[in-house]
Amino acid sequence: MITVAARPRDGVLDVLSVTFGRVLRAHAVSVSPSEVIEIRRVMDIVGAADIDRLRSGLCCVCVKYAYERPGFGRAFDMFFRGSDIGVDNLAQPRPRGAADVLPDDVAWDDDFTGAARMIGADEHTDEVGDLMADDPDARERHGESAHREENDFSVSAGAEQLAVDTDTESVAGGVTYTIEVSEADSASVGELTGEATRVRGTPIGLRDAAAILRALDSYDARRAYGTDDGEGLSDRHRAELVKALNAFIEALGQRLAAQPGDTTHVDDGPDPVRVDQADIDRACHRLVQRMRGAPRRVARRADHGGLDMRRTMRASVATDGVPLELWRRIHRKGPVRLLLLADVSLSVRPVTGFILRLAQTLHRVGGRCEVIAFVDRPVLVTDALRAANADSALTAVLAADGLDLAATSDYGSVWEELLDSYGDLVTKRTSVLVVGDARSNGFSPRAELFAELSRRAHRVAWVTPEPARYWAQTGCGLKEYAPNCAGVVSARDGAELVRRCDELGNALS
Amino acid sequence: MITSTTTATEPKAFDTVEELSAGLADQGYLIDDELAVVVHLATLLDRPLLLEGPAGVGKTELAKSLAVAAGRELIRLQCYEGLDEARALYEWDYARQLLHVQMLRDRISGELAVESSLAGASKALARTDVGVYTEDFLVPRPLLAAITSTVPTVLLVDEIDRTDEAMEAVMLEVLAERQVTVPELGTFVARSVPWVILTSNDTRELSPALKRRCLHFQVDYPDAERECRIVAVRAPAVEKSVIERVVGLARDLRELPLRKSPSIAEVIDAARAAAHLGDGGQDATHRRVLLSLLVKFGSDLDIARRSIETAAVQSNVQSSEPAGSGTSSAFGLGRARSAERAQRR
Repeated sequence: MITVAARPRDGVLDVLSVTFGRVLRAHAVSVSPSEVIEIRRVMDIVGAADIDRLRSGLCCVCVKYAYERPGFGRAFDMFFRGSDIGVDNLAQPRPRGAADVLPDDVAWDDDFTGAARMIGADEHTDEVGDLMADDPDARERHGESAHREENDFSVSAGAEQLAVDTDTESVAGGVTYTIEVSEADSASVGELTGEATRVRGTPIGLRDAAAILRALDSYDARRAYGTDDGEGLSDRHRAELVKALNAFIEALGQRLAAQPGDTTHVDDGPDPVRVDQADIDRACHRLVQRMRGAPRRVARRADHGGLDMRRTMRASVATDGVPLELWRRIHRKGPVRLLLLADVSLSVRPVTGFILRLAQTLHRVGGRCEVIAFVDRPVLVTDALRAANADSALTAVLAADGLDLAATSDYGSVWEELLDSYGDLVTKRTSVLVVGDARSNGFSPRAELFAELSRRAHRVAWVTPEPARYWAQTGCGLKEYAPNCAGVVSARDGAELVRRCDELGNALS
Repeated sequence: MITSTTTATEPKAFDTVEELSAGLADQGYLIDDELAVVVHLATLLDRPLLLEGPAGVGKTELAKSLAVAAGRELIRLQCYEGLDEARALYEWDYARQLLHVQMLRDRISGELAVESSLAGASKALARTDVGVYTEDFLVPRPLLAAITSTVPTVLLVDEIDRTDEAMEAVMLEVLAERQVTVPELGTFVARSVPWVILTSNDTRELSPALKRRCLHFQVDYPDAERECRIVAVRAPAVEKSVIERVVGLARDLRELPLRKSPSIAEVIDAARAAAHLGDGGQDATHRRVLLSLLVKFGSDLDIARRSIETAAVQSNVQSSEPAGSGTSSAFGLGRARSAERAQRR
């Protein structure tokens, strides 16, 4: 062992290590005070003469998980190399996914159903649709949202008003109204965008109106990219969009021109896809960490549990037949066996990519993980998913033989075929995780088959992209499935899943 | 569990990272620069070093080489599912204790004969130290052996992810305090601070408590140039061009989604095999033979062969198909298959 020579204590290093610890925490690298002490020791020993060496030293002290590595890299570069990562931008909520790489003056609509339709459907469908006569009632008949509630009232012009008569209120507990303000035709950042605000009882007075206005003022338009209604753009909006796109293309061209030799990497802060993947990795790690397989009985030398006579007698041979070692059968958690059922239908397409990447990562983390994708019938896609990388997961699974993406979701027939064809995948040791919106488009949800599935499995949990208030709607079977689930979690992306994965892990244990 | 010892020479400390790298290179271990800094820090800070990474990247070999290079004794604890304290820490030698008591039986009976009552004899027996709970009857297992060793040691806790969380908790005291408590005897504190190296194949997430007590390093496969040098050191008789070819093949295989990627040891074996094959594994048949040395699962072999055949076809046929997005082509494929199936029905 080498003893480091005692030197007068350097106060600068104390300050540096504590500050660096804070910077690390700000970049989602959780360092404890004892690790800050280690940071100081490493700074003292290694010094800053060789910055790469210092980086290696600090990395091994601070980074305990793979998902912390990018955060550490950014924190280190900012702290020791002075690289600017745009702190102002980080303060604002950023759109996730591909939208993050676009300039702010272009709204990227992840939820735009037209995009999904174009990907999923035959490319000729839209052209045929254009030839058909315009149906003025179609919009009203189909509704703008698949999740529209029955008594919705839309105010589309300034002249219309909505009043609530509280005198007719007959429910003792009061009535809950949901006021949803849509940003009809807004195309510039900062205008009102859709957010549901819940108010209770009583007529809307001046104070309430002021509160609503305050809530709307505090609304950040950046979070709402994706709710913009793309129909009926005026010439002005169209011109703005063209201008923004031109600016984007120009900026992209400049960046590419600036790096003629390397077009694969554009250094403009953290890569959103990687950050998202880091979220998913983190969620999976936590999930697997929280999950416990079905318990099994193993023989151990322990103080509790039923006596294992065979092992005890065998052990007593060494001690002249005196059973000094008592072997008992105790319950231990078994290995995690997971079956993931992923809905890949059009209605949940915006989250399909995320779900499959999650499945892929889970498959990598948890040893035994089977993945079944379904729209109207289940298809085992484990091999296809394993053979694909993170970027091509969606492509690989959607191309799986037997998966008809144009079909209509039918959870009832999925359960039926699952139990018939893949019944051997569901055992008392299997934890089943279903990912989907439970919307069967009018077909019977067959909750009794789901109950059968739940009975056969160790645990069943459900991840849905929809918030709980939509679960009881007509067409959504989640309300019927929920009693047979150990847990139902609403999550739309990695960050949300990280927040809920403890709950999910407990449900699957 | 294996407790192996090396013939320890004079213990030696490494003053600089370069000295450490050179010492390991003398033992045939070419260490990555970043890992060298981390190992050096671990020896300076007296902290356990947790190495995580896929199987066959040289984690265990590092501990062995480090022990030889530093002139320390290597004590190895091979973890497995079901490993308990008795196999990791210490165990009482019950057989010898029983024998000891039986040999003293007549003497004990004689001494107790003077007591008039049973209660008195019982109390006298309780007061008497029969001497069964002494260090003589304690069988030290690797963790205790490392703590009580009089010479400096390297403690290798191999594949810790195979044990359960309870065993991790047992190790916390050893790793953090470098002491082992035996209730009947007291606490053994380390006479010489062992250098502790833990390895994990990352098949299970280790507990945060364990990770917090260790320096952490993710070991990955070496780059092509360093891997060639490693193979050249371990298989000096093989030509450089053959080594490069085999390493290139192994690196291609590692890009594929295999259940088990080729380890460095397997690459060394494959390089030796390629040297014996005459043409250095250039022939297609020979390449398939090399695959059997590098790929160990049937499903992996299918993927590897398919990939090699596809690569060969792609290199022959210039792509003239219209470019399209991956997703749209995938939809076309799935749709075409569905249509075919419908027609068959």
